[in-house]
Amino acid sequence: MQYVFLKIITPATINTATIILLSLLLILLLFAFLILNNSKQIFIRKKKLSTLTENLIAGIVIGTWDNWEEDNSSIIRLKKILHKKDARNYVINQLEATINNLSGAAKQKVQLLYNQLNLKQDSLKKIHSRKWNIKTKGIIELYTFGQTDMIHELYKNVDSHNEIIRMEAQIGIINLLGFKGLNFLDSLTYPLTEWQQLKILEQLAAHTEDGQLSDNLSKWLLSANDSVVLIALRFAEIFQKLHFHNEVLHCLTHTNARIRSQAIETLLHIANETTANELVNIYNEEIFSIKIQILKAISAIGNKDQFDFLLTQLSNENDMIKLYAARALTHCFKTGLTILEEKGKALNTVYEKIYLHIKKEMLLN
Amino acid sequence: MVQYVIFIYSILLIITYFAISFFAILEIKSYLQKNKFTNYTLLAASKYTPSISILAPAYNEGQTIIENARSLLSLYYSNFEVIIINDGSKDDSLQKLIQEFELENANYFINYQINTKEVKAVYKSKNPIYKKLIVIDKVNGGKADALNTGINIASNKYLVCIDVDCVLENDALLKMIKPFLEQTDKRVIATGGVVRVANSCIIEHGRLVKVNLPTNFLARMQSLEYIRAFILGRMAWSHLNGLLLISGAFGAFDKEIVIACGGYNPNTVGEDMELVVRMRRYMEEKKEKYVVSFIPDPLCWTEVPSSSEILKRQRNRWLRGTFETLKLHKKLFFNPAYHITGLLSYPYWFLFELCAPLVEFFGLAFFLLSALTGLIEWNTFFTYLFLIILLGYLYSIFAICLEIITYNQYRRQSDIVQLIIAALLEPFYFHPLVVWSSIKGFGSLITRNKGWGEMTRVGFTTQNKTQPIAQTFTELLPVETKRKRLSITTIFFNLTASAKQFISITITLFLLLLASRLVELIQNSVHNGFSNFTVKTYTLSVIKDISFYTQIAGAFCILFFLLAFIHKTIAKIILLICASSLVILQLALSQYFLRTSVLLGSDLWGYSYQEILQTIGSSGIFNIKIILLAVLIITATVTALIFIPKLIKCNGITSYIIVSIFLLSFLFNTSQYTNQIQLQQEFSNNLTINKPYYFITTSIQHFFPSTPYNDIYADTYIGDYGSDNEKNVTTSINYIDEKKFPFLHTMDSTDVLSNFFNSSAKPPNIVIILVEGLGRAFSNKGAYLGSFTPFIDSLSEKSLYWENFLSEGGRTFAVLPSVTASLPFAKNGFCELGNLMPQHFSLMSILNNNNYTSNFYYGGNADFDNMHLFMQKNKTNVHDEQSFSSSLYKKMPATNGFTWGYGDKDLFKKILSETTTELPFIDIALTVSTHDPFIINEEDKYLQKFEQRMNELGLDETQKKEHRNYEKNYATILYMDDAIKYFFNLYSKTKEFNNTIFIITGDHRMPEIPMSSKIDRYHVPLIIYSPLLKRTAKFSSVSTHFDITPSLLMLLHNTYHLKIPTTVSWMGTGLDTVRSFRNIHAYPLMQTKTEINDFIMEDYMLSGNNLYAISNNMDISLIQNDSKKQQLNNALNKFKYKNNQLLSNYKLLPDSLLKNSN
Repeated sequence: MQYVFLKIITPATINTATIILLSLLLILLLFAFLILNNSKQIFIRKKKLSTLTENLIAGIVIGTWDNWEEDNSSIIRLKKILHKKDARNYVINQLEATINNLSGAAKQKVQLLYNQLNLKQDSLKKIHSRKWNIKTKGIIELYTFGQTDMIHELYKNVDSHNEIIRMEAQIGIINLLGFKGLNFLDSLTYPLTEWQQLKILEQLAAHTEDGQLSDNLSKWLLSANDSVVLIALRFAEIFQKLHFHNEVLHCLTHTNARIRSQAIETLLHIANETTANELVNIYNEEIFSIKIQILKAISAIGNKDQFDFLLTQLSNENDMIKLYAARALTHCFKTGLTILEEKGKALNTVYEKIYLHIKKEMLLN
Repeated sequence: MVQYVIFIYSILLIITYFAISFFAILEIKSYLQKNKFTNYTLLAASKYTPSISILAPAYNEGQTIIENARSLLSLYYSNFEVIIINDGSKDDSLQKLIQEFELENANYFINYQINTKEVKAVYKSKNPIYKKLIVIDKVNGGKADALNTGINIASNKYLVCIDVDCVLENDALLKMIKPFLEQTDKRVIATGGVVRVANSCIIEHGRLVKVNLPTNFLARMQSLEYIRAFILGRMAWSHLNGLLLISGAFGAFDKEIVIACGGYNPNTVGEDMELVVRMRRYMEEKKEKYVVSFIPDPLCWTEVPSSSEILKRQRNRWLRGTFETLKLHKKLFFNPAYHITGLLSYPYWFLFELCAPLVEFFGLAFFLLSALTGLIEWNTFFTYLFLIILLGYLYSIFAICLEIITYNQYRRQSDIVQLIIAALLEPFYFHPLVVWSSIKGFGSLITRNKGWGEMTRVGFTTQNKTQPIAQTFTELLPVETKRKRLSITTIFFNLTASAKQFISITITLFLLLLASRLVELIQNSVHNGFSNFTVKTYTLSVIKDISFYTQIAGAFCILFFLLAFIHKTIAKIILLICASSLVILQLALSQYFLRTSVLLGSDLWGYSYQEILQTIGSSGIFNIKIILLAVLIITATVTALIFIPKLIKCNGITSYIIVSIFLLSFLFNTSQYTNQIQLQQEFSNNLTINKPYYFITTSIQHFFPSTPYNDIYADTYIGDYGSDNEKNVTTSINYIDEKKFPFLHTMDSTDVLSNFFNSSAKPPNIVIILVEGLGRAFSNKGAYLGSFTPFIDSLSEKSLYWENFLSEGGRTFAVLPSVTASLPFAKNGFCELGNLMPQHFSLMSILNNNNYTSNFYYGGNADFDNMHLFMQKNKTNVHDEQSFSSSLYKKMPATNGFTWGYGDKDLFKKILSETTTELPFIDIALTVSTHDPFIINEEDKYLQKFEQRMNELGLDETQKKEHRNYEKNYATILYMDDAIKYFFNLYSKTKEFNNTIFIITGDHRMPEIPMSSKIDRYHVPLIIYSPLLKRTAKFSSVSTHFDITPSLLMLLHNTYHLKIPTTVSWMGTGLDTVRSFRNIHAYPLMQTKTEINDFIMEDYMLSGNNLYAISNNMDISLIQNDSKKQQLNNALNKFKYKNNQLLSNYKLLPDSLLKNSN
């Protein structure tokens, strides 16, 4: 007897479904092998192209290649194949990979080769593409090959709604202009992710600070965009902007806990004799993680004024507070370790453990 | 029932897989496009990267610990520490580490933010080269406890938890940490990474040098499985931000949230999943926006089990881990407060990860058993199996394709071929192994089997004596989910307790159902007399009931235990609701049956809300007494279901035995066997059927209709819905274009009526009287209940009279389309198509084209059953209750404010008042007085007439007593007969009378007076009377409503040369005027709006799955003739197929034909 549900899917339906699934399966299998085969073809084509570009790149790297006119037959052969789009893209990618590992004259020569092979046109086409990923590639190529005259194209995109385009345009401007390029922070409407901040800081590492930063830091520290304040604090920290001490102190009252945390981190690097007391002043109002951060900071920048404060914190019921207060005490005062040892003997095992921990830590460090 | 569960589950699963594939593509595409511009090499060395603590628990890893530690220390990242936690290893792991890395005890002060086992010592290196390394030596406490210890020691913001033997790619840390740095408006709480299979890969100095596909068969299978799980599953859930699992082998976490949640749970074997679920829950409860991210780059390589024993233990553990996690967080299940976690992720894991092995295993076992016992054919079994395997292949090959397009780790074509072969072999060895291990995992949960050896080191039973310093998650979590030891004993006892509770409620339910059944049987016996029902009837009733009760208890059982897994109270409440509903449903349906003598099935769904309201309202069943009684019964039922179970004690073993019986009954659909036992008498047979069973099964068939299918190669296939029997004329129908117009055919030119008529000068008027409920059972000579229609009887003697005539429907909905247009039923009756009714020919439309005027008269609301619309479409004037003047006509008495409208005498009075036209006309009248609640204006008078009539018929006292049970019904029949007499008396005085043909038939047999057989419901008289008749005749051959219009039109065409189309879509072929009993027609009959289960052909009737032989007095008897049954089944299916075709294009006639006819 047939089950009712077997009538729901009749043999005809099953047959149709089977045929459809089998067809899909075969299509997928065919697709898989086509992709594999295509990858192989691409690999072979790239191999051919790489034999042409390798000599040129090697010449650039070891300094035997000077310019277009003096080059040998490989340039001529390369020129012949550059009418193909994928070949041009391949060469651009090769040069891009090379230039990232070069500096000085060799880097300039790669840029020159890029210009002379007229590859800039490709990058410009890409930057005007509607597809965000192609546009981004165009931006990267333009700044990688030092196309400073295209800076306006990059500026157009620094506040793009597309995150990737925006990030690469920002990096591009900094890459080409150094600290001057940070002007986009004045009017940035989107937040800078921590990842982007990291990339910006890495880009700036290749440039020399020439005073541009100091001109703008005050307004960035007051920016309505919290991420701009955060990166400004990091600039002040990394580039030791000591004269912005007061502005950074002001950030300790910011509503955003991350900004207050970064401000403490920055103050650690631009501290003066009043900083530790300022931190003590805000201590009681702060959340637990920032309290720990303040104790860590006092450990590095504290002075005699914080002795009573640290002693009080050493008696705090929270063991983490105890530990960091003890560490600050021993770092700031020669008698700190003795105080700790005595407290350990007199009171309980927690202080004894903390004492042993810090004593060993000091030895190991 | 079980087949539906499996079917719906399979459909959901397939949809889920397709959705997963779709979302995985979106996520991978987005990830690859965004990340192709990132130079990780440059950034990994940046001093600005956030700091990370790598936690690597190790247990007896002495052989590889040094190499693994070196590998971790050499990762390409600037700010990180490596914390190796020696979890009480019994080998020389610690000594090796101390020696190799120049470690010494750091006297570390540990802040126990998370409660863990005792830490013996924390070691740091004297050598500054290894300053990133911290080694913890602790008492054995399991992986979760070791990781918690690491978390207590970790000093950095982000944690990366890995298995110490995993091999990481160089840039793994930066890639894992990137998602944490990319979000601005949401907090990333965890990131998962892809884990790949390292077996057979070449690894040197802790670095992966060459990727190879594993040579070991099981490992290769797992390679495929990992690709599928990570590239498809995890990526799709990442796209939806619904990830619940980050592999314990490699995952990054926000330390602050991990500590706030209380760290890993050491009391579960699925600590990795449990942590992620708890973190998600924590964020949801804090109402903070968050993300659990996942990156598809192959960053972590690990060795997978290459022996089946280890693999089985691993899968057993995974299953238990999933179970424990889901149980611990059952609050999330479909809880909208937890958004996607509660509404999608948790249900997915529950249904398709946890329950999948169970459904697969028992589903397969069920099908296998069905095939072995012959319930399904072996070829069906294998076809389904093949389809399922094919779906699995598709999913695997799709994953392989994605792998090739994205990371293509196995670059050689031969590796891809090997992977594809692995995919093809998977269903035959690896997958069954995995499913079986999972089943054993369930077994372990019940039998207290802790599974693999490592469980012993977890140390379930001891707690750390160290006092917690910081909050633990036990304090942070809501009370009901506080960590508690998941004792297998507890699970077993919980299960037993649930089984006992279920049984006590179910026994109470049985008692209530049987009590309700008893009420039904007693009420019936009181009403219809004890003597009319044999012991067999009562016994069969109880047998059918018990089989249904056990079967539905099986369904309740599955529901109850699944819910009990989530929450016991919810399970109990749902069971009580289901049980109460069933009792009330049974009571309501049995009362319906007792009142109407028909079973309520899916036909309920064929009526609109308004129609149901009108029917119920006018039946008068709703009054304050009934409502109070209903409230009382509901209260009593619920009270009984709550309190009686407390008095029923059942031990564990008995409970399990009974539960098993229920489940088996459910699995094997026991009711279908007991319901095959039939009684000859229709009413008695219906009485034995369990009413909820009938309602539920027909409703399921209604909502999941079967597609008619004919095996054209079967011996019994007859080509069309007719047989090759020469008597059958249906086979001679010449269909023109069955694909486009399934019913279109050339009209049969046989004119069987002309011989009986004199011709007149002008075309005759036609008056069709369709009498509500007029059955042969109580009308005309030979009526087995005695004839209560004396006038109709006398008229039939002066007429052409078909004594074995059949209506096409079991209810009124079918009468107009069948009689006046010979139309197919479509889905719920032709009129129910509403505005979608295809254009068609009808008696009215054709006669209108021949200068007739057409009118439809009905005492009620013609919107009922869409009659008004049907008539409008046929350009027929409608005169329903709205056109009756209240000053001239009197409505039938109302009950509860409802009435069907005007009585039959008023109806005929109305017709007579309107019949003044020069043109020939066709009047169609549908009566209404003989309808439930059988209340008429002159009730007393006709009750007296009823008594007189019984005397005239010579009924004895017993018969009279039986008849008096339906006195109101008979009184209305006598009233209707009188009304027709009144009509004929007055009409005969009009000038039109002599040139009029009268046709009288019933729309169906009144079902409220118990019927004798299935065919009784359709058995009605057909009378064609006219002063133009040359001679009278009585025909015993079978014809139906379908045949009236074709024959009448041929008469008018041949005698009066009316124009009629030569191509039509009539269902009927014309009346049979052979006087002896025979049936040359092959027609479907539609009992209710939702069921086309009846078919007549030759001397047979098919009803459902039963074949009956029809005798010359229209009695039927159940017979066994498989070949004949198959023939009728094929014919019925052929009709259904055509009927379905009609529903696909709503075309009966080509436009050109309609145009010409106009």
